[in-house]
Amino acid sequence: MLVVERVTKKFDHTVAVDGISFSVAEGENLVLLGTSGCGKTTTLRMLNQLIPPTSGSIKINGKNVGQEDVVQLRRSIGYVLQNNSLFPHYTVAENIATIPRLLSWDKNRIDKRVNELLKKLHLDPATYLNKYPAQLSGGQQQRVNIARALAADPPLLLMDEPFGSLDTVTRTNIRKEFKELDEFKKKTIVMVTHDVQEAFELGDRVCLMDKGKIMQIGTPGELLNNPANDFVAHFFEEQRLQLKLQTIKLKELWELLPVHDNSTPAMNISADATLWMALQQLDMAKGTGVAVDIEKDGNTKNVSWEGIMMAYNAYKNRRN
Amino acid sequence: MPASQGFLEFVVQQSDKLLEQTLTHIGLTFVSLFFSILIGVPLGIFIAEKRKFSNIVLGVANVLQTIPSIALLGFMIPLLGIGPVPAITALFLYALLPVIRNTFTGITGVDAAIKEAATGMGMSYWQRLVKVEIPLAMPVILAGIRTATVINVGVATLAAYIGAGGLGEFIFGGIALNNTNMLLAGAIPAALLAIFFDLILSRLQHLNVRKWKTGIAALPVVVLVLSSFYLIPRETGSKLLAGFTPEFMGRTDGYLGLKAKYGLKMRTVVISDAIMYKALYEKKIDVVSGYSTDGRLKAYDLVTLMDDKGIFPPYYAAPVVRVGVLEKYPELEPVLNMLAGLINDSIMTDLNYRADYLKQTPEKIAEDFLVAHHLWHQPLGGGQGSVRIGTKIFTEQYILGQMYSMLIKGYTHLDVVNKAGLGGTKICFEALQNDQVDMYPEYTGTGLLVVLQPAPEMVKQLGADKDKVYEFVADGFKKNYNLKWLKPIGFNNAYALMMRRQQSDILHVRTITDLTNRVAEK
Repeated sequence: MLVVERVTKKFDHTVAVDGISFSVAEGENLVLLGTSGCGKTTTLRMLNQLIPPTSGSIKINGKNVGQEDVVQLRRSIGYVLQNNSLFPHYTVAENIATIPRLLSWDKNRIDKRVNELLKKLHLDPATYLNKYPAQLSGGQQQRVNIARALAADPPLLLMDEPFGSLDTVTRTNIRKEFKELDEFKKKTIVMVTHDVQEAFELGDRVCLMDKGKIMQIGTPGELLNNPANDFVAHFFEEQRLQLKLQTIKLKELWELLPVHDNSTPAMNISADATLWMALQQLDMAKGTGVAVDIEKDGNTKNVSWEGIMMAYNAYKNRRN
Repeated sequence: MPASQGFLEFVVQQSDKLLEQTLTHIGLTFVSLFFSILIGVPLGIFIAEKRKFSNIVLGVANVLQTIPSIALLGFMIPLLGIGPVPAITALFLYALLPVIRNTFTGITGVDAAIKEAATGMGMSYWQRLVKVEIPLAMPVILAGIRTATVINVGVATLAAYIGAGGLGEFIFGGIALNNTNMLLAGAIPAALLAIFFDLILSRLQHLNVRKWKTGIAALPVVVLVLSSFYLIPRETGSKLLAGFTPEFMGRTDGYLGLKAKYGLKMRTVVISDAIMYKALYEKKIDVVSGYSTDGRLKAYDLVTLMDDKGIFPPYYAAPVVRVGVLEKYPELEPVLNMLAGLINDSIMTDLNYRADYLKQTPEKIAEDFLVAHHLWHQPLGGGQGSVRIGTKIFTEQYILGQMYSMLIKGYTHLDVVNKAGLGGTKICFEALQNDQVDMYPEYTGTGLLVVLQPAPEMVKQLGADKDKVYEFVADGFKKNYNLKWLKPIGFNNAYALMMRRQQSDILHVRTITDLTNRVAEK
């Protein structure tokens, strides 16, 4: 779908992006990860030609973006920035309708699409359609921001630190919604973040960058377990346990999970969730008990915090 | 104009004129504002896009702003003559800076993330400008327009100096004539206009984003409608155009007297005496109300029309001094009287000519004169008190002020503080009364008609007799204000109507009666 070949960007005498190549398959989520100044945002902005590359080629569906009309190109690519990028003088409805209007959709089609998106993002159209961004919370603003990028249903979505300015709780919630949204599941997404958690949670593959170069590109598990060099290994050092919990799904250690004895039925969670998510659920829902129901193929296991950690230890030992 | 007349009475009496001036004022303000928006907003947008031009454009606009308004109007005369065109041009230049600067600040101040979002979503440069940047910059742009409007309402008062009309006619007339009612009749509406437009624009500025669209669409219409006030028909008459000072326009021994006694009815514009001779010389106007000793008479080859019906009373100049000062420094009076009888009309005209045409400084002219008359003396060194000399804001007064200053320094041990260029009669006289200056040179006719303002019968009775007028004025000042008129200097700087010599010859106009007949013919 998206092929980047030997792309370099120089600003005056500094090299921001240094001959990188990668490709993103259709429907895949690629996360560009790295510290500030590593070139990840520059890379993203070259994809929709906000920054023209100094050399190299970027192809979307086989077409070289450098040779396309930039305005048309950008209208066909969803673009999400941090949440202060909504047009403050437009209502929620008008913000979402931006690209459909540029594409001259008829009014009914636009209204229908706006309503549909608001519902999907859990914003009641009756309440929010005519609100201005300043009247919304940060989380609501970012939902609208995402809806705006999705409005014309672009096959490719570029996201630049989309959750960067939200508080941790809102961030976790929106990330969850984001993952569950059917609109996203079929899209090819390139996302920039400096948050390792976020990268591991959302990325099918993670592209770790440093000083304009790609250090390693691969699934979260690959980066964690088979680091290509010292930089990659060091990068995940501090959060290794958490990240590992994030790369393992409950169903992978289903057999090892002990059933909690005297539990009251608590929340349900899918076996596709990671260990980390299950632990988070337990941690956040203090009032509803200390156990979580895990469902797999119709079977349910009621598990406690300790149960999950025991299973993880057993799993780890078995692999060693 | 009797002194007892109340403010409201004046307003009612002059309501036609007041309305005309107010409409002209609004017109002047908004025609210039219209053009400054027309030019300033696109220019601001341009330099926001092409930043390298921003310094030079804002720099030039800034410099324009720092030119004193009266000086800017002065620059306009040789280029554009007098009347509405130079006035509107000057106002336009003044209004330009706030409009350009605020447009620039507004556009560049739009959040970079929002601009990037607009571009990233596929808006072209123009779409981004129209849909995002201009609407978001609008409150700042409107603030600039608001500033420009208030500046323009204020500066437009000065338009009266160059014959463009407006409320300045009353304001400067009021200052010149010591007529508070007239002054207020100009100043209050001007202030109210400024407050009113400021209020309206601040409302517009703080409107909900939503309503901008209608508000902004309405703005050009409103500005155009208000601009059109300038086009209302004005008083017309002859083809000959007279430029009279605000003071002359309102004086019984000025235009009012000309109308009453000669039946002269001609097209007039109000103009500042600082530029009126030049405008006459450059054929922008045909008749001016000058002073008979003015050096520019000689410089510009002008002739004075004979006052054949004697409406201009004598204007013999003499220093007016506070009695307290004369008592405190008894040595002062003889020194000030040294000039008495020494300068006749032609000498004064020549001295003025040296300043106005030969560009000599008042100091040099005063010194040369005193040296030639063996009156100049090395300063004795001060330290025994000081005298503050005021002068009005024209050449002759500056020269006299310098002469008195040199005489006092040369013959007494007093220091001198010069407070030259104190506007009109009202300002000088009030300064003297309020102990801000100790003396200034005044003219008998002015003292009579502007300060004392006796009943018309009395004025008639005094007539053109210079001694009677002097005695009456000296007596009145002593009694009413405790101010002393010293001996007259000698020259009679009376009002006079003047024309270009060439035109006077062609039209055979030698007297004011000739002029009246000539004007009536057309």
